Parts: sequence; structure tokens; C-alpha cells
Amino acid sequence: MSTRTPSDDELHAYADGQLDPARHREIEVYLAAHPDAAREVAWIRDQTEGLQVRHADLSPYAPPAGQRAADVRRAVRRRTARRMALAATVVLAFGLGGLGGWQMRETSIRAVYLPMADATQAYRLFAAAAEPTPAVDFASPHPAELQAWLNRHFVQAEPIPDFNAYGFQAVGGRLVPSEFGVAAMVLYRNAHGQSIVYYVRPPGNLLHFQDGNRRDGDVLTQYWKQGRYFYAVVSPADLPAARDIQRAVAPDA
Amino acid sequence: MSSLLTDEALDEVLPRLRRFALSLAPDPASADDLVQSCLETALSRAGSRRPDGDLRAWLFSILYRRFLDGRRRASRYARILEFLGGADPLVAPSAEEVAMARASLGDLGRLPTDQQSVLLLVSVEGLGYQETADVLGIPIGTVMSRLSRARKALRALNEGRIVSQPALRILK
Repeated sequence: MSTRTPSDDELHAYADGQLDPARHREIEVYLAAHPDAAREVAWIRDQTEGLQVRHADLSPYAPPAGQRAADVRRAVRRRTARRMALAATVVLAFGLGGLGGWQMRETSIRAVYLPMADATQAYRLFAAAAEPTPAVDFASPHPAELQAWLNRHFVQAEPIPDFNAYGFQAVGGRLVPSEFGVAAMVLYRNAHGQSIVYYVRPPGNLLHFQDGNRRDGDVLTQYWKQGRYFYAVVSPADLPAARDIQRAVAPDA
Repeated sequence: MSSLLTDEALDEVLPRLRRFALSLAPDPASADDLVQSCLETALSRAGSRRPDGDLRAWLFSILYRRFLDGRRRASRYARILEFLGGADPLVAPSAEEVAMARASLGDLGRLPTDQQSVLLLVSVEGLGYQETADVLGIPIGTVMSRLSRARKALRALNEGRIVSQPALRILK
């Protein structure tokens, strides 16, 4: 017999039917001639059988309440839904944070730069003062003459508005310095000495300028871009007499 | 395929899974936790199952991974507590609980956990050596040597003897 003597492990594997068929047959032959080894195999099989018989009853291991597959599947699904909700919340929080941050950025930019703040200041300095004769460079009640004066300093400026219909008469024009270059203001007054200022200035190096309006205290500044200049009309914010002019300047305001 | 992971198929394996958990865990409550977390893992990644794989072996291997993870965590926790104050707050399962778990496993329950697992998987559940090796994450050679030792230990127990050496020497 040239059969290799089976190892202890091989006898177990043989008893468990875990060997490849060729080796299984070899050991079969070997066992026929070696009763000790055969007894060992028989013993292993007996033990296995005994174990299977003793443990055939699975009833002690019935799953407790809430641990059947359907229960666990439901729990998993609920948890998944909860996680999705949590994830959505996180995304939403980040989204709101980002959006808020963007808004803050816009707000802070606007806080640093107030469009046409120079027009508002010019109004406060020269027009709001209750002097009977405001300081103007060129006094004229006629829009045409004021236009000619304006055209000497600005190229292709828009026509000066006529607020006569609203009770505001042109008083005169004045040049004022601004950080963007020379600006011009035209002052209007009504019978009660209330003032409105029309303001023109070069754009400077501003790239982003949007038409709009802004209220600073009791003064409303409406501004827009037209051609090569920026324009503004500054008027008392709460003056009923100025309301129509404000509406005429910006119909949607 | 998740389509194979039906509730019926799972429920059929559940008692076996629970028995395996009881053989590993120190008390029935831990065993239930183990089964629960195994099922949850299986159900939440059902797609990763090979369609031709044996459901039982697959679940056993998940359960055994969870068991190892838990034991690693527990020992880390114990080390930290030991470091912090030396107290041992880990509530030991009551003797009664342990006895109950052991009683349900009968003779197997008196073997060391390592030997219990191989005997349970190979002799009782009838898994192949390779499957058993996969479940326990050990080489097939280790399965075989453990199996041989477990069988001899069990026999010695049943014969009322304390095992100290192989009960039978193979004669050449």
C-alpha cells in the first residue's frame, strides 16, 4: 500500500466529507486496513450525529418579539428615513448659512459704499439749509439756461427736468467736487422754501451700479445711470409735495 | 440580490443565528443585541450579497464580525476605565442568565468559545470547512485544528474527564 498515512486533521475532514474525492477514496482504502483509524472516524461521526440530534430542536431559539425580519426591516427603514431627514436638515442649514452669508456680503458691501451718497450730502449741505438765497454759481429760473450752463461742464447730459408742474421752480446750478470728479447740482424750490436737488456726476470707476433709491433719515435719494453719467434726484422723504416728483422720477418706487 | 433576502428566508435562519449568537455572547441580552445588529447590517446592505452565496453562512459571518467589533470596543472601554480609576463597572451577567444560555446550548456551552463556534458551525450547522473559515475569518487550517481539539474536548467532557491531552492517539 503506497497510501500516505492520513493525518488527524484528514481523518476529521474525511468524517465530515470535506476531502476531494481522490483523497477520500484513498483514505477509505486505508481505513479498511487500519481499524484504529476507522474507530476514530466512527467516533467522530457518532459525536456529530449526537450533536445534531441534541441540537435539532430550534424552538428555544425562536426570535423574541420585535426581532422578526419584518420588524427589523421596518426599524431599518425608519432609521434610514430619519437619517435622510437629518441629512436634509444639515444640507438646509448649510444652504441657509451660505445664503445668509451671501446676503451679509451684499449688505456689507452696500454698507461700505452707499450709491450716490455724494448727492445726498450735496443736498444736505446746500439745499436743506433754510437760507432765503441759496449759494448757487449760476442763478436762473429757466431750465433752458441752466441746461446751457450744464452743457458747458458735461458732455451730452440728459435734459434738466422741469418740476414747475409740481410747484418746484429751478433756482440755479452749482458745481460741487466729488470723489468721482466735478458734479453738478440743480436746485429747485417751491413757495414754502422746500428744496429738491437734481444731481449729475461722472461714474468714476464704479462697475456695478444699479438704479435704485435710498432713504437717509428724512431725505430720499433716487438714482439711475443714463448714458455716460450718473443722475440723482434728492428730495425730502416725507413731504407730500415731493411725492409726485418722486413718483415721476421712478414710477415704480 | 436583495430580492433573495425575503422576510421568510430571514425568519428561517433567525433561530440558527440566535443560537450562534448565544454561543458567542456572555448573556442572552447581548446575544439578542448581536442578532439585532446583524440583521440591521444585513438589511441595510442587502445589495452587497452575492446571489449565489449561502444566506446562512453570510449572516453568520456578519454576526461574527459584529461580535468581534463589540468585543474590541468592550475591551477598549474596559482599558480606559481601568486607566481612569481601576473600577470595573461592566455589569457582569447574572449567573442565572449565563446558566440559562449555557443550558440551552447543552454540552457545547461548556467548551471554550473558539471551540464551540467551530463545532456548532461544522457539526451542528453542517457548514463546510471553507465556509466556516470564511465566517470566522481564520485560515482553513486553523478551523481543522480547532475542530479536532474541540471534538476531543467534548468527548472528554461527556466521559466525565478533564481534558488535558488528546484522548486518543492514532496508531500508525
